Amino acid sequence: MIATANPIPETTVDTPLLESLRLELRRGCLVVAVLAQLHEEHYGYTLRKSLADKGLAIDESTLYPLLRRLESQGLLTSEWREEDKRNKRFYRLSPAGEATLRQLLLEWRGLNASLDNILGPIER
Amino acid sequence: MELVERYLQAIGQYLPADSRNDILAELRTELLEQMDARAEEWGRPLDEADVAALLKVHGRPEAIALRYLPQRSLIGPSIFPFYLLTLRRAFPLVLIVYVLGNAANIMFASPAGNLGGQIGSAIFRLFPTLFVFWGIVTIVFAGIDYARTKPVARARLEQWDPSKLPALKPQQAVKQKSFAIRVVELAVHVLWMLYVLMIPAHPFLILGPGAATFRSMGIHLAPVWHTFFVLLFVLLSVQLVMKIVALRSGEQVLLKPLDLAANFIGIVGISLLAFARQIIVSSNPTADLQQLATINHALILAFRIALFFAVFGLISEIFKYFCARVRVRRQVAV
Repeated sequence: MIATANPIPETTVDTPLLESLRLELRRGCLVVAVLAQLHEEHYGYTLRKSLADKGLAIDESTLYPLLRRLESQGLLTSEWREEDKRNKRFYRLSPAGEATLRQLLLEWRGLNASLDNILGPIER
Repeated sequence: MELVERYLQAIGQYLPADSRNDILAELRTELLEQMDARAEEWGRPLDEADVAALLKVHGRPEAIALRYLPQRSLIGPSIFPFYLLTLRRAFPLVLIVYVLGNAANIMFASPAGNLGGQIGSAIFRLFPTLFVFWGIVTIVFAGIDYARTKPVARARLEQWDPSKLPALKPQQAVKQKSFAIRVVELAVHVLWMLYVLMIPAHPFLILGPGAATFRSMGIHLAPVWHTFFVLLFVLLSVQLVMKIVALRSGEQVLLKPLDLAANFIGIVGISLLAFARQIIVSSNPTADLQQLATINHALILAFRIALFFAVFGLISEIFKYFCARVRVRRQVAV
């Protein structure tokens, strides 16, 4: 008997699976984007707005813990300051963060070029 | 504003004390900025319902607090597959050791108690035993996972030699008996059935000349043997069905469950004798009752030993059968 593969319906998309894969894909990108954006000093709200304005929306419950983690890893520095009569915590890249970002960008560009090579024939 | 503070308070109760105030202050700034932006957009100050809607979008307090807490796991993802594998491999062994231990305990208990009660009690005690086993394996793996983070342990884990991997297991081909052998097996089985069924009426078939001696001494088989022979007849009939099925198709799939069922019936039969009060009785009023009791005790003990090995064999066969089925299913799935 000859085994035949089950035909897979082309239009079927497992939404929870897609969402989980999308989050996984975004996770690494968010770190790079946040580090890159913190070349300039920002506090959480303006950082979120500037990322959203550039097409990378990130919710606050993701951003703030990420900022704390990056700071605890020595990639960011922060300080509390009063601005517009409100206390705000301003973040910026540390020297270690600058160096790490440079390495990550190299990695990112390499991955991007490889993916372009892989995806090129499929997308054409 | 009070609603915002209540919200922050709810988040704060889940946060570690050393960073609580810092995190809450930052969240407060974020929420107030959002409220200012919304008020500016709408051209009016926000009322309580607007603030409640904003907080609802922001997220449940517990979920927000959870994001700030370090990820904790008793057994990390890198070691979890080994943990599951160990549980899966060791679970049947624990089960077999438990069943054998309890079977031996029930069989050789002196004096023999209520069989049903003893089996029920053994089944009831199985769950705490499995729970303790699971707990011990979990603690051991949690310890390994903790130690794994230490440099010495990590270096040891990375030391392995691919050449020491176990050799490939040989693929077992399914043996198919020829038609002639199956016919001979059926014929021999029919003869065996006839022989066994004739024994109660003609004891000399099994005892030889000793049958006459037993008769002269007034020694007979106890009534439990009648039930045993009924079971034996059922067992032989099941085996006959198996031989006929095998004769027709040679198909092995149905034979194994039937074989296991036949083994089970055999065990029930042996159990009848192993837990009987008497195997042989005497109708002679002058018979030595002490000697009769000793012979009965020896025979019952022999049947109990046979039962122990029969139970072990059946459990082993059931285990092998289900392992083979799981293997086949996995192969089909792949």
